[in-house]
Amino acid sequence: MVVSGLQIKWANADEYLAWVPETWWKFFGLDHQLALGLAEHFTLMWIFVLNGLAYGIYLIFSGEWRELLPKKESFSQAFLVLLHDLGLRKQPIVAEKFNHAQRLAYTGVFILGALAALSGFALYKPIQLPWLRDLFNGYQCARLVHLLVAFGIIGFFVTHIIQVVRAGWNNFQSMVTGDEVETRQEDEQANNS
Amino acid sequence: MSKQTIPKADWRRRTSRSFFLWILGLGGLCSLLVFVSKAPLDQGIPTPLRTVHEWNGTLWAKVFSPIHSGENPIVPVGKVPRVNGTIGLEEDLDPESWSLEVITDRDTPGAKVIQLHLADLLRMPQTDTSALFKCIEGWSEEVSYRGVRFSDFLQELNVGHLPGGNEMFPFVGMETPDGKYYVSLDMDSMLYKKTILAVAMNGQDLAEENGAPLRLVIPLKYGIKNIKRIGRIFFSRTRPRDYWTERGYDWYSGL
Repeated sequence: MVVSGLQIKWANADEYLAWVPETWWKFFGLDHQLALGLAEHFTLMWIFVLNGLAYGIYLIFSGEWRELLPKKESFSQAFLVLLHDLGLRKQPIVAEKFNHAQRLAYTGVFILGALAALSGFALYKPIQLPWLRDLFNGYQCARLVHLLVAFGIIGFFVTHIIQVVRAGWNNFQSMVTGDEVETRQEDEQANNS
Repeated sequence: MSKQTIPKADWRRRTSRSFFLWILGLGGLCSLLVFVSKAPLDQGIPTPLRTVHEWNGTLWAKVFSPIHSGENPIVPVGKVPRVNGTIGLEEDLDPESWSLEVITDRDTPGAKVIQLHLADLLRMPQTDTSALFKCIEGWSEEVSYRGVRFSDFLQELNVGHLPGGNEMFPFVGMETPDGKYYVSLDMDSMLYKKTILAVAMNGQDLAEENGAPLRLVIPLKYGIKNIKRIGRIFFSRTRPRDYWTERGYDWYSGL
Protein backbone atom coordinates (compact mmCIF):
# COMPACT_ATOMS: atom_id res chain seq x y z
CA MET A 1 0.00 0.00 0.00
CA VAL A 2 2.83 2.35 0.89
CA VAL A 3 4.78 1.66 -2.31
CA SER A 4 1.76 2.16 -4.56
CA GLY A 5 0.83 5.21 -2.49
CA LEU A 6 4.26 6.67 -3.17
CA GLN A 7 3.82 5.95 -6.87
CA ILE A 8 0.67 8.07 -6.71
CA LYS A 9 2.18 10.77 -4.50
CA TRP A 10 5.36 11.06 -6.52
CA ALA A 11 3.77 10.63 -9.95
CA ASN A 12 4.46 14.27 -10.76
CA ALA A 13 7.10 14.90 -8.13
CA ASP A 14 8.96 17.11 -10.58
CA GLU A 15 5.95 19.42 -10.92
CA TYR A 16 4.21 19.40 -7.54
CA LEU A 17 5.16 19.38 -3.89
CA ALA A 18 6.45 15.88 -3.17
CA TRP A 19 7.23 16.41 0.55
CA VAL A 20 10.71 14.95 0.12
CA PRO A 21 13.89 16.07 -1.64
CA GLU A 22 14.30 15.14 -5.28
CA THR A 23 17.03 12.61 -4.49
CA TRP A 24 14.52 10.53 -2.52
CA TRP A 25 11.98 9.83 -5.21
CA LYS A 26 14.75 9.47 -7.76
CA PHE A 27 16.46 6.92 -5.48
CA PHE A 28 13.30 4.84 -5.04
CA GLY A 29 12.46 5.17 -8.74
CA LEU A 30 8.74 5.41 -8.02
CA ASP A 31 8.00 8.61 -9.94
CA HIS A 32 5.85 8.84 -13.07
CA GLN A 33 3.93 5.64 -12.41
CA LEU A 34 0.51 7.08 -11.62
CA ALA A 35 -1.56 4.60 -13.65
CA LEU A 36 0.22 1.57 -12.19
CA GLY A 37 0.19 3.02 -8.67
CA LEU A 38 -3.56 3.66 -8.78
CA ALA A 39 -4.25 0.17 -10.16
CA GLU A 40 -2.18 -1.43 -7.38
CA HIS A 41 -3.67 0.81 -4.70
CA PHE A 42 -7.28 0.06 -5.71
CA THR A 43 -6.51 -3.68 -5.76
CA LEU A 44 -4.52 -3.95 -2.54
CA MET A 45 -7.05 -1.79 -0.66
CA TRP A 46 -9.50 -4.69 -0.62
CA ILE A 47 -6.87 -7.04 0.84
CA PHE A 48 -5.94 -4.35 3.38
CA VAL A 49 -9.58 -3.91 4.43
CA LEU A 50 -10.35 -7.66 4.57
CA ASN A 51 -7.16 -8.34 6.51
CA GLY A 52 -7.97 -5.59 9.00
CA LEU A 53 -11.53 -6.85 9.44
CA ALA A 54 -10.34 -10.45 9.93
CA TYR A 55 -7.78 -9.30 12.51
CA GLY A 56 -10.37 -7.20 14.36
CA ILE A 57 -12.91 -10.04 14.43
CA TYR A 58 -10.24 -12.46 15.65
CA LEU A 59 -9.20 -10.10 18.45
CA ILE A 60 -12.80 -9.72 19.61
CA PHE A 61 -13.74 -13.40 19.60
CA SER A 62 -10.47 -14.78 20.94
CA GLY A 63 -10.39 -12.26 23.78
CA GLU A 64 -6.84 -11.35 22.76
CA TRP A 65 -7.86 -7.69 22.69
CA ARG A 66 -7.43 -7.71 26.47
CA GLU A 67 -3.69 -8.16 25.99
CA LEU A 68 -3.50 -5.28 23.51
CA LEU A 69 -5.81 -2.53 24.75
CA PRO A 70 -3.95 0.11 26.75
CA LYS A 71 -4.77 0.19 30.46
CA LYS A 72 -5.22 3.32 32.51
CA GLU A 73 -1.60 3.31 33.58
CA SER A 74 -0.27 2.47 30.09
CA PHE A 75 0.11 6.08 29.07
CA SER A 76 2.52 6.86 31.90
CA GLN A 77 4.12 3.42 32.02
CA ALA A 78 4.86 3.44 28.29
CA PHE A 79 7.30 6.28 28.88
CA LEU A 80 9.28 4.11 31.30
CA VAL A 81 9.39 1.36 28.69
CA LEU A 82 10.70 3.90 26.19
CA LEU A 83 13.45 4.96 28.61
CA HIS A 84 14.26 1.29 29.26
CA ASP A 85 14.50 0.49 25.54
CA LEU A 86 16.68 3.50 24.91
CA GLY A 87 18.99 2.25 27.68
CA LEU A 88 18.28 5.21 29.93
CA ARG A 89 16.55 3.25 32.68
CA LYS A 90 18.03 0.11 34.14
CA GLN A 91 15.07 -1.26 36.13
CA PRO A 92 13.41 -4.18 34.34
CA ILE A 93 9.96 -3.62 32.86
CA VAL A 94 6.93 -5.57 34.05
CA ALA A 95 6.88 -8.94 32.33
CA GLU A 96 3.60 -9.25 30.45
CA LYS A 97 2.77 -10.63 27.04
CA PHE A 98 2.75 -7.06 25.75
CA ASN A 99 4.24 -4.19 27.73
CA HIS A 100 2.59 -0.81 28.02
CA ALA A 101 4.46 0.72 25.10
CA GLN A 102 3.45 -2.24 22.96
CA ARG A 103 -0.16 -1.91 24.05
CA LEU A 104 -0.16 1.71 22.91
CA ALA A 105 1.67 0.97 19.68
CA TYR A 106 -0.45 -2.03 18.62
CA THR A 107 -3.74 -0.35 19.45
CA GLY A 108 -2.52 2.88 17.86
CA VAL A 109 -1.53 1.24 14.61
CA PHE A 110 -4.89 -0.52 14.40
CA ILE A 111 -6.61 2.85 14.70
CA LEU A 112 -4.23 4.30 12.10
CA GLY A 113 -5.08 1.41 9.78
CA ALA A 114 -8.80 2.06 10.20
CA LEU A 115 -8.23 5.78 9.58
CA ALA A 116 -6.19 5.00 6.48
CA ALA A 117 -9.05 2.92 5.09
CA LEU A 118 -11.76 5.46 5.98
CA SER A 119 -9.88 8.51 4.65
CA GLY A 120 -8.94 6.43 1.62
CA PHE A 121 -12.55 5.66 0.78
CA ALA A 122 -13.43 9.33 1.35
CA LEU A 123 -10.87 10.16 -1.36
CA TYR A 124 -11.85 7.27 -3.60
CA LYS A 125 -15.59 8.10 -3.74
CA PRO A 126 -16.04 11.65 -2.41
CA ILE A 127 -19.36 12.09 -4.21
CA GLN A 128 -20.85 8.63 -3.73
CA LEU A 129 -19.84 8.63 -0.03
CA PRO A 130 -20.47 12.30 0.91
CA TRP A 131 -20.95 11.53 4.64
CA LEU A 132 -17.48 10.02 4.78
CA ARG A 133 -15.99 12.98 2.89
CA ASP A 134 -17.67 15.41 5.31
CA LEU A 135 -16.48 13.35 8.28
CA PHE A 136 -12.95 14.29 7.20
CA ASN A 137 -13.96 17.90 6.61
CA GLY A 138 -13.79 17.68 2.84
CA TYR A 139 -11.76 16.16 0.04
CA GLN A 140 -8.43 17.95 0.49
CA CYS A 141 -8.55 17.50 4.26
CA ALA A 142 -9.08 13.76 3.78
CA ARG A 143 -5.98 13.77 1.55
CA LEU A 144 -3.94 15.34 4.35
CA VAL A 145 -5.24 12.82 6.90
CA HIS A 146 -4.46 9.95 4.51
CA LEU A 147 -0.88 11.20 4.09
CA LEU A 148 -0.23 11.80 7.81
CA VAL A 149 -1.66 8.38 8.68
CA ALA A 150 0.71 6.83 6.14
CA PHE A 151 3.63 8.54 7.90
CA GLY A 152 2.39 7.05 11.19
CA ILE A 153 2.14 3.55 9.78
CA ILE A 154 5.61 3.77 8.21
CA GLY A 155 6.93 4.96 11.58
CA PHE A 156 5.31 1.99 13.33
CA PHE A 157 6.68 -0.44 10.75
CA VAL A 158 10.25 0.81 11.04
CA THR A 159 10.17 0.83 14.87
CA HIS A 160 8.58 -2.63 14.87
CA ILE A 161 11.32 -4.12 12.68
CA ILE A 162 14.08 -2.53 14.78
CA GLN A 163 12.51 -3.82 18.00
CA VAL A 164 12.05 -7.36 16.66
CA VAL A 165 15.70 -7.47 15.60
CA ARG A 166 16.75 -6.15 19.02
CA ALA A 167 14.56 -8.62 20.89
CA GLY A 168 16.32 -11.58 19.30
CA TRP A 169 15.49 -15.05 18.09
CA ASN A 170 13.33 -16.38 20.90
CA ASN A 171 10.95 -13.45 20.59
CA PHE A 172 10.84 -13.85 16.81
CA GLN A 173 10.06 -17.55 16.97
CA SER A 174 7.28 -16.76 19.47
CA MET A 175 5.78 -14.33 16.94
CA VAL A 176 5.60 -17.13 14.40
CA THR A 177 4.68 -20.09 16.59
CA GLY A 178 2.70 -18.34 19.29
CA ASP A 179 4.75 -20.23 21.91
CA GLU A 180 7.27 -18.69 24.18
CA VAL A 181 9.99 -21.15 25.04
CA GLU A 182 11.41 -21.61 28.51
CA THR A 183 14.04 -24.25 28.79
CA ARG A 184 13.97 -26.09 32.13
CA GLN A 185 17.10 -26.04 34.25
CA GLU A 186 17.48 -29.84 34.23
CA ASP A 187 17.45 -29.86 30.44
CA GLU A 188 20.15 -27.24 30.32
CA GLN A 189 22.29 -29.31 32.66
CA ALA A 190 21.55 -32.49 30.73
CA ASN A 191 22.64 -30.77 27.56
CA ASN A 192 25.80 -29.45 29.12
CA SER A 193 27.00 -32.68 30.66
CA MET B 1 -1.49 -18.08 28.34
CA SER B 2 -1.10 -21.49 29.85
CA LYS B 3 2.27 -23.03 30.54
CA GLN B 4 3.02 -26.44 29.16
CA THR B 5 5.98 -28.69 29.55
CA ILE B 6 6.48 -30.79 26.48
CA PRO B 7 9.27 -33.04 25.25
CA LYS B 8 11.82 -31.37 23.06
CA ALA B 9 10.94 -33.52 20.05
CA ASP B 10 7.28 -32.45 20.25
CA TRP B 11 8.33 -28.85 20.55
CA ARG B 12 10.60 -29.20 17.53
CA ARG B 13 7.74 -30.63 15.50
CA ARG B 14 5.38 -27.84 16.56
CA THR B 15 7.92 -25.15 15.83
CA SER B 16 8.89 -26.49 12.43
CA ARG B 17 5.22 -26.84 11.49
CA SER B 18 4.58 -23.20 12.44
CA PHE B 19 7.62 -21.97 10.56
CA PHE B 20 6.71 -24.09 7.54
CA LEU B 21 3.25 -22.51 7.41
CA TRP B 22 4.72 -19.06 7.97
CA ILE B 23 7.21 -19.41 5.13
CA LEU B 24 4.50 -20.94 2.93
CA GLY B 25 2.31 -17.90 3.54
CA LEU B 26 5.15 -15.48 2.92
CA GLY B 27 6.19 -17.36 -0.22
CA GLY B 28 2.58 -17.40 -1.40
CA LEU B 29 2.34 -13.63 -1.08
CA CYS B 30 5.65 -13.13 -2.86
CA SER B 31 4.71 -15.43 -5.75
CA LEU B 32 1.36 -13.63 -6.05
CA LEU B 33 3.28 -10.36 -6.36
CA VAL B 34 5.59 -11.82 -9.02
CA PHE B 35 2.62 -13.38 -10.84
CA VAL B 36 0.83 -10.02 -11.01
CA SER B 37 3.90 -8.02 -12.02
CA LYS B 38 4.89 -10.55 -14.72
CA ALA B 39 1.36 -10.95 -16.11
CA PRO B 40 0.78 -9.74 -19.69
CA LEU B 41 -0.33 -6.15 -19.96
CA ASP B 42 -3.90 -5.14 -20.68
CA GLN B 43 -3.94 -1.53 -21.91
CA GLY B 44 -0.82 -0.51 -20.05
CA ILE B 45 -1.19 -2.38 -16.74
CA PRO B 46 -0.92 -6.07 -15.72
CA THR B 47 -4.09 -7.98 -16.62
CA PRO B 48 -5.03 -8.90 -13.00
CA LEU B 49 -4.94 -5.21 -12.03
CA ARG B 50 -7.06 -4.31 -15.06
CA THR B 51 -9.54 -7.01 -14.02
CA VAL B 52 -9.85 -5.46 -10.55
CA HIS B 53 -10.27 -1.99 -12.10
CA GLU B 54 -13.16 -3.32 -14.17
CA TRP B 55 -14.60 -5.14 -11.18
CA ASN B 56 -14.40 -1.97 -9.08
CA GLY B 57 -16.10 -0.04 -11.88
CA THR B 58 -18.94 -2.54 -12.08
CA LEU B 59 -19.37 -2.46 -8.31
CA TRP B 60 -19.54 1.34 -8.07
CA ALA B 61 -21.79 1.60 -11.12
CA LYS B 62 -24.18 -0.78 -9.31
CA VAL B 63 -24.30 1.29 -6.13
CA PHE B 64 -24.22 4.58 -8.07
CA SER B 65 -26.68 7.09 -6.75
CA PRO B 66 -27.44 10.30 -8.69
CA ILE B 67 -28.84 12.03 -5.58
CA HIS B 68 -25.39 12.87 -4.26
CA SER B 69 -24.48 16.29 -5.56
CA GLY B 70 -20.89 16.54 -4.38
CA GLU B 71 -19.48 19.84 -3.23
CA ASN B 72 -21.24 23.14 -3.96
CA PRO B 73 -18.55 25.78 -3.70
CA ILE B 74 -19.04 29.48 -4.34
CA VAL B 75 -16.38 30.33 -6.88
CA PRO B 76 -14.70 33.69 -7.29
CA VAL B 77 -15.82 34.95 -10.67
CA GLY B 78 -13.01 35.67 -13.07
CA LYS B 79 -10.48 33.16 -11.75
CA VAL B 80 -8.97 31.28 -14.70
CA PRO B 81 -9.45 27.54 -14.22
CA ARG B 82 -6.24 25.57 -13.88
CA VAL B 83 -4.98 24.03 -17.12
CA ASN B 84 -3.44 20.56 -17.12
CA GLY B 85 -3.74 18.92 -20.55
CA THR B 86 -3.50 20.14 -24.13
CA ILE B 87 -3.87 16.89 -26.05
CA GLY B 88 -6.18 17.40 -29.02
CA LEU B 89 -5.91 21.19 -28.72
CA GLU B 90 -2.69 21.60 -30.70
CA GLU B 91 -4.23 22.83 -33.96
CA ASP B 92 -5.52 26.37 -34.21
CA LEU B 93 -9.28 26.53 -34.04
CA ASP B 94 -11.57 29.06 -35.63
CA PRO B 95 -14.65 29.24 -33.40
CA GLU B 96 -16.70 30.49 -36.36
CA SER B 97 -16.09 27.39 -38.43
CA TRP B 98 -16.36 24.98 -35.49
CA SER B 99 -19.34 22.68 -35.40
CA LEU B 100 -20.43 19.78 -33.26
CA GLU B 101 -21.23 16.48 -34.89
CA VAL B 102 -23.79 14.33 -33.07
CA ILE B 103 -23.86 10.73 -34.32
CA THR B 104 -27.14 9.32 -33.08
CA ASP B 105 -26.18 5.63 -33.40
CA ARG B 106 -22.55 4.83 -33.98
CA ASP B 107 -23.20 1.10 -34.34
CA THR B 108 -25.57 1.46 -37.30
CA PRO B 109 -24.00 2.70 -40.55
CA GLY B 110 -26.03 5.49 -42.11
CA ALA B 111 -27.69 6.52 -38.86
CA LYS B 112 -28.64 10.17 -38.52
CA VAL B 113 -25.86 12.72 -37.91
CA ILE B 114 -26.75 16.17 -36.56
CA GLN B 115 -24.52 19.22 -37.12
CA LEU B 116 -24.73 21.95 -34.47
CA HIS B 117 -23.14 25.38 -34.26
CA LEU B 118 -22.42 27.28 -31.09
CA ALA B 119 -25.56 29.40 -31.62
CA ASP B 120 -27.68 26.21 -31.63
CA LEU B 121 -26.27 25.23 -28.26
CA LEU B 122 -26.77 28.72 -26.82
CA ARG B 123 -30.45 28.52 -27.81
CA MET B 124 -30.92 25.45 -25.58
CA PRO B 125 -31.73 25.88 -21.84
CA GLN B 126 -28.61 27.00 -19.97
CA THR B 127 -27.66 25.76 -16.51
CA ASP B 128 -25.32 27.42 -14.01
CA THR B 129 -23.69 25.28 -11.35
CA SER B 130 -20.46 24.73 -9.45
CA ALA B 131 -18.37 21.79 -8.27
CA LEU B 132 -15.02 20.73 -6.91
CA PHE B 133 -13.09 19.70 -10.01
CA LYS B 134 -10.75 16.80 -9.18
CA CYS B 135 -7.65 15.85 -11.10
CA ILE B 136 -6.47 12.23 -10.98
CA GLU B 137 -3.01 13.61 -10.11
CA GLY B 138 -4.37 14.77 -6.75
CA TRP B 139 -5.12 18.48 -7.04
CA SER B 140 -8.63 19.83 -6.94
CA GLU B 141 -10.11 23.23 -7.67
CA GLU B 142 -13.47 24.87 -7.19
CA VAL B 143 -15.09 25.81 -10.48
CA SER B 144 -18.39 27.22 -11.61
CA TYR B 145 -19.59 26.53 -15.10
CA ARG B 146 -22.47 27.28 -17.45
CA GLY B 147 -23.83 25.47 -20.46
CA VAL B 148 -26.32 22.85 -21.58
CA ARG B 149 -27.08 20.11 -19.12
CA PHE B 150 -26.42 16.85 -20.99
CA SER B 151 -29.88 15.46 -20.15
CA ASP B 152 -31.44 18.65 -21.59
CA PHE B 153 -29.22 18.29 -24.65
CA LEU B 154 -30.59 14.76 -25.26
CA GLN B 155 -34.16 16.00 -24.89
CA GLU B 156 -33.69 18.99 -27.18
CA LEU B 157 -32.29 16.82 -29.96
CA ASN B 158 -34.38 13.77 -29.10
CA VAL B 159 -31.31 11.51 -29.16
CA GLY B 160 -29.71 9.01 -26.80
CA HIS B 161 -32.51 6.44 -26.94
CA LEU B 162 -31.94 3.05 -28.48
CA PRO B 163 -34.00 2.74 -31.66
CA GLY B 164 -37.57 1.62 -31.00
CA GLY B 165 -37.53 1.82 -27.23
CA ASN B 166 -37.25 3.92 -24.13
CA GLU B 167 -33.94 2.41 -23.12
CA MET B 168 -30.87 4.57 -23.40
CA PHE B 169 -27.62 3.76 -25.13
CA PRO B 170 -25.32 2.55 -22.34
CA PHE B 171 -22.27 4.45 -23.64
CA VAL B 172 -21.49 7.97 -24.80
CA GLY B 173 -18.30 8.73 -26.73
CA MET B 174 -16.72 12.14 -27.34
CA GLU B 175 -13.73 13.25 -29.39
CA THR B 176 -11.81 16.41 -30.18
CA PRO B 177 -12.19 17.63 -33.80
CA ASP B 178 -8.77 16.17 -34.70
CA GLY B 179 -9.60 12.88 -32.96
CA LYS B 180 -6.42 13.02 -30.86
CA TYR B 181 -8.22 13.05 -27.51
CA TYR B 182 -11.25 10.88 -26.88
CA VAL B 183 -13.26 9.72 -23.90
CA SER B 184 -16.11 7.32 -23.29
CA LEU B 185 -18.57 7.48 -20.43
CA ASP B 186 -21.45 5.51 -18.96
CA MET B 187 -24.90 6.97 -19.62
CA ASP B 188 -25.87 7.00 -15.90
CA SER B 189 -23.07 9.44 -15.13
CA MET B 190 -23.89 11.50 -18.22
CA LEU B 191 -27.50 11.94 -17.05
CA TYR B 192 -26.36 13.36 -13.69
CA LYS B 193 -27.73 16.87 -13.19
CA LYS B 194 -24.29 18.48 -12.96
CA THR B 195 -22.99 16.91 -16.17
CA ILE B 196 -22.85 19.88 -18.51
CA LEU B 197 -21.65 20.70 -22.01
CA ALA B 198 -20.05 23.93 -20.85
CA VAL B 199 -19.49 27.15 -22.77
CA ALA B 200 -18.27 29.21 -19.82
CA MET B 201 -16.33 28.66 -16.59
CA ASN B 202 -15.98 30.96 -13.58
CA GLY B 203 -18.18 33.57 -15.22
CA GLN B 204 -16.15 33.91 -18.41
CA ASP B 205 -16.39 32.40 -21.88
CA LEU B 206 -14.13 29.37 -22.14
CA ALA B 207 -10.52 30.20 -22.89
CA GLU B 208 -8.90 28.16 -25.67
CA GLU B 209 -6.74 26.20 -23.20
CA ASN B 210 -9.84 25.46 -21.11
CA GLY B 211 -11.55 23.88 -24.12
CA ALA B 212 -13.31 26.60 -26.13
CA PRO B 213 -15.83 26.60 -27.64
CA LEU B 214 -17.41 23.59 -25.91
CA ARG B 215 -16.16 21.20 -23.24
CA LEU B 216 -17.56 18.58 -20.93
CA VAL B 217 -17.69 19.21 -17.18
CA ILE B 218 -18.65 16.06 -15.28
CA PRO B 219 -17.74 16.35 -11.59
CA LEU B 220 -18.62 12.67 -11.05
CA LYS B 221 -15.40 11.78 -12.87
CA TYR B 222 -11.76 12.75 -12.67
CA GLY B 223 -10.55 15.57 -14.91
CA ILE B 224 -9.29 13.11 -17.54
CA LYS B 225 -12.91 12.48 -18.59
CA ASN B 226 -13.77 16.21 -18.78
CA ILE B 227 -12.87 16.48 -22.48
CA LYS B 228 -12.11 19.91 -23.95
CA ARG B 229 -12.96 21.22 -27.44
CA ILE B 230 -15.58 18.59 -28.25
CA GLY B 231 -15.95 17.96 -31.98
CA ARG B 232 -17.97 14.78 -31.98
CA ILE B 233 -20.50 13.12 -29.67
CA PHE B 234 -21.82 9.64 -30.36
CA PHE B 235 -23.90 6.94 -28.74
CA SER B 236 -23.05 3.26 -28.69
CA ARG B 237 -24.03 -0.15 -27.36
CA THR B 238 -20.39 -1.07 -26.82
CA ARG B 239 -17.76 0.87 -24.93
CA PRO B 240 -15.97 3.35 -27.22
CA ARG B 241 -12.21 3.88 -26.93
CA ASP B 242 -10.91 6.09 -24.15
CA TYR B 243 -7.56 7.89 -24.31
CA TRP B 244 -6.35 7.40 -20.72
CA THR B 245 -7.82 3.93 -20.32
CA GLU B 246 -5.55 2.87 -23.17
CA ARG B 247 -2.67 4.28 -21.12
CA GLY B 248 -3.29 2.26 -17.97
CA TYR B 249 -5.98 4.23 -16.16
CA ASP B 250 -9.32 3.04 -14.84
CA TRP B 251 -12.08 3.38 -17.43
CA TYR B 252 -14.88 4.09 -14.93
CA SER B 253 -12.86 6.69 -12.97
CA GLY B 254 -15.96 7.59 -10.94
CA LEU B 255 -15.84 9.72 -7.83
